[in-house]
Amino acid sequence: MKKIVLERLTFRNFKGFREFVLDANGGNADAYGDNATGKTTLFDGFTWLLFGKDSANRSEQKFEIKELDKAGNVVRHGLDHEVEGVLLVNQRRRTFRRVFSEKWTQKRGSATSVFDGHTTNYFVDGVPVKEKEYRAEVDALISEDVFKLLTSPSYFNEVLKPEARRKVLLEVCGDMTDAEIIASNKELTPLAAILEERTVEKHKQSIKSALAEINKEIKEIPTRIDEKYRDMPDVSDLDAELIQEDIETLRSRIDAKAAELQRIQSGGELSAKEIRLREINAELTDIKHRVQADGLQAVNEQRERLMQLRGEASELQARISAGQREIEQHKRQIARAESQAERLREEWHAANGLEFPAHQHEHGANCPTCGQALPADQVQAAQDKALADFNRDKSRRLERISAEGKAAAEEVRSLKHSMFDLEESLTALEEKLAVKQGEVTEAEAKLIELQAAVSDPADDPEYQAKQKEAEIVRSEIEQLRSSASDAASKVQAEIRLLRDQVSELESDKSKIAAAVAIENRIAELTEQERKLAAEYERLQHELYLTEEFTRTKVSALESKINNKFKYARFRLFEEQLNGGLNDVCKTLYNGVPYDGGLNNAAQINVGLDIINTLSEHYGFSAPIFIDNAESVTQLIDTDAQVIRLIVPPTFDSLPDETKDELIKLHGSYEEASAVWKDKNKKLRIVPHNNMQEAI
Amino acid sequence: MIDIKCLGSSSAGNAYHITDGHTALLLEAGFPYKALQRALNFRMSEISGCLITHEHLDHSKAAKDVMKAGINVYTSQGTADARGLSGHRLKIIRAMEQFQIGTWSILPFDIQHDVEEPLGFLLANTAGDKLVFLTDTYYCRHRFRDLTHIMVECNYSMDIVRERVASGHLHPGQMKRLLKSHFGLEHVKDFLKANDTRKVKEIWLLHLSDGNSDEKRFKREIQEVTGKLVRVAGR
Repeated sequence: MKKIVLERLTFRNFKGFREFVLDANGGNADAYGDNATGKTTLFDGFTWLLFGKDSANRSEQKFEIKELDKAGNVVRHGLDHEVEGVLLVNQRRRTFRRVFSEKWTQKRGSATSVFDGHTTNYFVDGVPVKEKEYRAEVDALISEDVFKLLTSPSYFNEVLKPEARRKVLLEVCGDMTDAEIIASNKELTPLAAILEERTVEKHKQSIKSALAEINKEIKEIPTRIDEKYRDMPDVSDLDAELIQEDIETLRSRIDAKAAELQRIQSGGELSAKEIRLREINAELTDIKHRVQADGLQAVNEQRERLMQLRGEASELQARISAGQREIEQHKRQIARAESQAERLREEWHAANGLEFPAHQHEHGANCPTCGQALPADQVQAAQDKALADFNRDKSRRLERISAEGKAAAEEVRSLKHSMFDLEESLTALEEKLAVKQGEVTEAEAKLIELQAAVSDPADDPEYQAKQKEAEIVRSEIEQLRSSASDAASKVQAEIRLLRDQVSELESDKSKIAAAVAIENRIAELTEQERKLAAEYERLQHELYLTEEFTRTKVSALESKINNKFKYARFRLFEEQLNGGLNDVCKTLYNGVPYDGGLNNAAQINVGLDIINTLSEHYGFSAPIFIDNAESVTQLIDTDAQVIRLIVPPTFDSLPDETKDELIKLHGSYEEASAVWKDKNKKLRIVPHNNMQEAI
Repeated sequence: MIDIKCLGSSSAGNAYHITDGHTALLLEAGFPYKALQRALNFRMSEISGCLITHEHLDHSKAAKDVMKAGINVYTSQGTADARGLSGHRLKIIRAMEQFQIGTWSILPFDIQHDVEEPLGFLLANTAGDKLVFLTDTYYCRHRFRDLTHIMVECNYSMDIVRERVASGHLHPGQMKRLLKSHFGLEHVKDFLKANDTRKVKEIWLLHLSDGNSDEKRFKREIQEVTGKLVRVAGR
């Protein structure tokens, strides 16, 4: 334990002190004085000496170190402001001195000095040192933070922030690891596995955000399900199977109607009727054939025979005609040959009657070429020759005409002969033809007779029925032709009606399908909700564990910390309305919070209690300055040096015996009261080994 | 094999966890949801359904939160209306109309209590267990066969009540209400005698009144009447 004791503190020109000595004489001391007599200045001086700051942590630039007049102006410039402290550090005397001065420099050529800022001088054990050295000496003594904690009972509770207070407390009692805390509570066992590498705090944060996330999702689900329920069509009176059956029935009816329509539109009905009519006609023919079969055969045979006869007759006729044409031709040939023969006869006569003509050369007997007269003999000879030629030609000509005449006569005769033959055969043919024609006439009569004998099918009842049917079909065809368009539109209307019914059923069916889909979706959502809720609960459990962890930690830590203190109790956690825990650091004394109604005296004693524990922890004790010490009747024990700063009571509030004694001493109440008042106008230090002087 | 766990059985709150190893049910939800959750070690999500007998808060407090946690709540229209319950997790049931939850067939039946449409429950499972749950009624007009488990309210004893009225600890008006709304020891005895208890394995006495009951005596007397294993549901 390092112990610092203040022996003496000397002030010069410091915050209104011209010269003042706090002589504690190495022990406890009390400083008496009314307000504004400089009690706090004593503490300010002590902290300034060591750290250059007043007790409220302000540097000399921030607090007024110099004496001021009533207008707030510096009374005198150029002074040295200093504090000197004589400390006993573990029985070894050390002297520290800090001197704060104005710096005035006289420039060359100037008559007056000029203010040039401040300067501080440092002395350790009477030796001037540099600021750095001085600070090192102080640091070696005590760290500023610890010094503040250990010298002022209010510092911990009033100046330190809760966070810093917690830090100090946890440092004092030793923090606990998460693992230690989990191990201390069986219920927390699952937490170890859940946490993995994270800290409980971190995990808690992640759980909270996950919870919020899931909660949001969970909250939405009932709304979504409600919406689905609202969208659901009412299908309570619908039966899917029945509807399907109905639809199929209606569809097959539509198909039939469509086929009918198709028939109507493509004339199917009509052509069917026409085909029927043709069939009836064929049937009629059949009946007719059946009815007339025998008669007709006879007729046919007769007709054939007649035809044959006619053919034979016409052949004969043709032969007759050909013969006649041949006879005509012969006649013409005979006529031509006769006229030929006549012409030849006449020609013969003509030729026979010809006489050599006596001719006279009119043209001369001169040669046609040379033009000389021809000799007479030659002319005779020529004449003889001409006669001979003439006769020969005449003879030959007669010969030829006679031959030709004979040939022509012969031809006539031959022609007449064959014509006779022809006429002969023609007559025979004509006779034959007459016979044939008789036969034809006879066959024709027979045919007519046979034809008349064929029976009439109209008499047959079957045939009549067929005819009637044909009549009906014919009229139907007629009707169909006129009414096809009406029928089509009628069927179309029927189809439309059926289709409407189907679509109505289809819409019912789709309603059922929609309802099923919605139900499925609702089931899904419901399942999802359940899963989310399970996950939510798992997280809630984890959150509960982390909270349980914190509670365990709280009680473990708080009891550990509180065990370190005699009077002070600490609350490190506060339960929030939502069940969570907040880190706090509240000091309590007898259950009363420090900043919530604890009286001044208790505040000071709690502060001292804290200083005692911290002193022990840091192994260090320093003088404690107790402000407002007059409010404490019983200070708790402390090993440290205590400087009490006390506002003395008014004369009237002094105990009666004290008053009486003072009145006796000074002669009268007035005198004693005035002396008392006067005495307290000035700060006075009373070391504890001289307590009697206090009164 | 039915496992019955009492999470609380008094006017401070009623809730019972029962399971046949396949389907877990919660009978009543008369505690804050968090308390239920904690009592079941955060295993609420394993519950398949929650049955609620009537609207009183010591039986229905957490109903809304139970539904919010994705668990169906089965109760009468009267109870639902009185507690303002609605939503897709609410399943309205009617006396004498049987329904199914998992392996349980449940038959609600009417009971006599000073509320709208209170119900008792007869639960049968596929393993052949049959449990009757009867609370907050001053009378039961139904008889049950082949019961294996009986959970029945046993709120007060007439002599204790009279004594307390006489000594001024109980207001006569309170007594009147008590007799018209809760099942007393004497009625429980009559009820047990009136039913065939040959197959019964366990009898649970529920909802013992703080002032008007005597746990040890009640247990003893029911043991004497039935010769069965008798358990008294803890607070």
